[in-house]
Amino acid sequence: MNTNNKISWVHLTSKLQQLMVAVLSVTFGISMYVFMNGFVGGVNETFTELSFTSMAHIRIYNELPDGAPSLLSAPDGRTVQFISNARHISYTEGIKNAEKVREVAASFPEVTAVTEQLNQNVFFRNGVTKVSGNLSGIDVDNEERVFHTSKYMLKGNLFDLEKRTDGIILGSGLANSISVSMGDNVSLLTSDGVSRNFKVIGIVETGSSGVDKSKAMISIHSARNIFSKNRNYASDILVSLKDYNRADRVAEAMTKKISYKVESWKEGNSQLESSSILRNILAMVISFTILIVAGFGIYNIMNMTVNEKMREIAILKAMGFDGKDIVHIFLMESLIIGFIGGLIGLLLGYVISYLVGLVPYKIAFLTTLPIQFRPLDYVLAFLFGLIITTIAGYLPARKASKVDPVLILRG
Amino acid sequence: MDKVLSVNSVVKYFHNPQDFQVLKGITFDVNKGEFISVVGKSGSGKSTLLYLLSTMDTDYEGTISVNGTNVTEMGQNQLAAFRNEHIGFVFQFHFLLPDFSVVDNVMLPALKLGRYPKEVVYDKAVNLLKLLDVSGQEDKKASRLSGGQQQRVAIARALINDPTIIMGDEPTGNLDSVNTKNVFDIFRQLSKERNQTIIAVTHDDDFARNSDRIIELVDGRIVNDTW
Repeated sequence: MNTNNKISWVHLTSKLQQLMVAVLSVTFGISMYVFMNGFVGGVNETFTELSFTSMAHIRIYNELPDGAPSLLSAPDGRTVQFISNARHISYTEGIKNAEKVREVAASFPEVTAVTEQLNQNVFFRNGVTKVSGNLSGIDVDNEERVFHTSKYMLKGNLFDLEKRTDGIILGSGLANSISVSMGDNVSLLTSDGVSRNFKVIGIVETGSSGVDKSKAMISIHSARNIFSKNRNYASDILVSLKDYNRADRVAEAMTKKISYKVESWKEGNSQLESSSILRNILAMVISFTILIVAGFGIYNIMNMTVNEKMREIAILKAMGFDGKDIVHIFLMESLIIGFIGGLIGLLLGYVISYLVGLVPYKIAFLTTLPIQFRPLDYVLAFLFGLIITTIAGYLPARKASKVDPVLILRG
Repeated sequence: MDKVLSVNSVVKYFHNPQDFQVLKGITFDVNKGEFISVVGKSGSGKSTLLYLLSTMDTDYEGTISVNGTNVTEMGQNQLAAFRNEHIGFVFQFHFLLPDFSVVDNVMLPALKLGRYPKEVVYDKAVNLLKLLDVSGQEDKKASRLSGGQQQRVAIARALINDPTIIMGDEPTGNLDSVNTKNVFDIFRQLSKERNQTIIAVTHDDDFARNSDRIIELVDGRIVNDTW
């Protein structure tokens, strides 16, 4: 062993209690860092997953044209043009060639699944109770691929929709408000005045109550039938991606090939992204504060050690150890503290995260508190721990290296 | 005779609390194997002179050469290495590292020098401890020994790198008469048998009288230099 390291080691092992306190402060800091980030990561993931139960990464739809239609060419400076009560008279609703658009969307390598929906606002009626809601005609297989809807089925089977043209799946809140349950009949009334009876074959609960109170699903074939649309008609085409963070770029690329409006989830849902960023910042701030407090602990202990060992430092210098050796000795001590404390901290952080992950918490699809175990968190925690202990150890070490032996030894 | 130390018109000021000239032009040479006592009243500048010679204090005018090397011009890190190799120090208080074992204390300067492998240094340290009559205590913590034993361990530590000069700052100042005699005898023996150069600052008249040469300082000047 290097002589300087040996001196560091003897210093550390001769004061075990002090060593333990220093190690514990690092351990605590690092385990909290790991836990906080794992927890916030889990929460963020849950929120994102929750919002993607009813929201696709990319939505393609036919946007209503903005502003008044221009019947006449813009007037020159000398003519005044009055058009009152302007309205669109030839607007094509929805996407007529849905299959083609789907194919184009599916041709992008980032895309994992594409589905089509026919969405309309309708009235649900049971007896005298009448509630307005959102009816989705869905392509069951692809819907499952994009939204994993079957995960949120409270009762019934999503795939029964394919087999039963008179089957309907209601959101749990909606079923409640029109007081129907499995096997009951519910009648739909469209805005065009068409009325049709359906049998409830499933109840779905996504965890987002706004959705659960208004959503109903039937097969897209029945939907086309009710709204008298052709078999290639859809109101929305929904796309899911491998990485939802890249939705912006993919949507931009799709816009060039698809004549309809292509919208990534970030447009109009910026609150989702910003809240997850804010939570991350909060977690960072808290865990860094804890790490820095741990750093102050080490600084304090090393400072005390240096003050205690003034005479020893002077003797070492008299014997021929130079400033660099002294820095080495004391810096090594705090590095060893950081290293041991860091390793134990990672382990403790893992255990805490694991235990908290067992706490029951039943909301939406959650059964326990959400915790993420990302290797990167552990690597960063260890790294930050080492950096902070290095800084906290360097300051006292530098002070030690500047001790004037003559001053100390002459008394 | 080999000249191992040469001091040439050394002048030293203290600036705190006010400017004060401690050493007013000190000049002398030391030959190999000499056993020198530096004496003088408190405030005569004898300790100050010793710390200049030890290369730890570098704030002075004039030149000091050790073993033909001008140490006045060296930087702090060079001086540390030089000290390690050429100068052994014995203090009034033993100043051992209390958490280290006796043998580790003796070995430290040699491990720092790194001239010999650890095993060789260990054997050498054990032999030195035997020479100084503290054998059998090698693995005890330094803080467990008696004052006289600790001072002998400190001398062993000073000797481990076969230094050009051993410097003592009141090496017997804190010892009873028996141990004082012991330490003096050790210095006497080292000087005679190993031709070891020794410079010791002392208050002890007996100690001084029995050394080879006495340099007496009064108010920062050498007033007496007797062989």
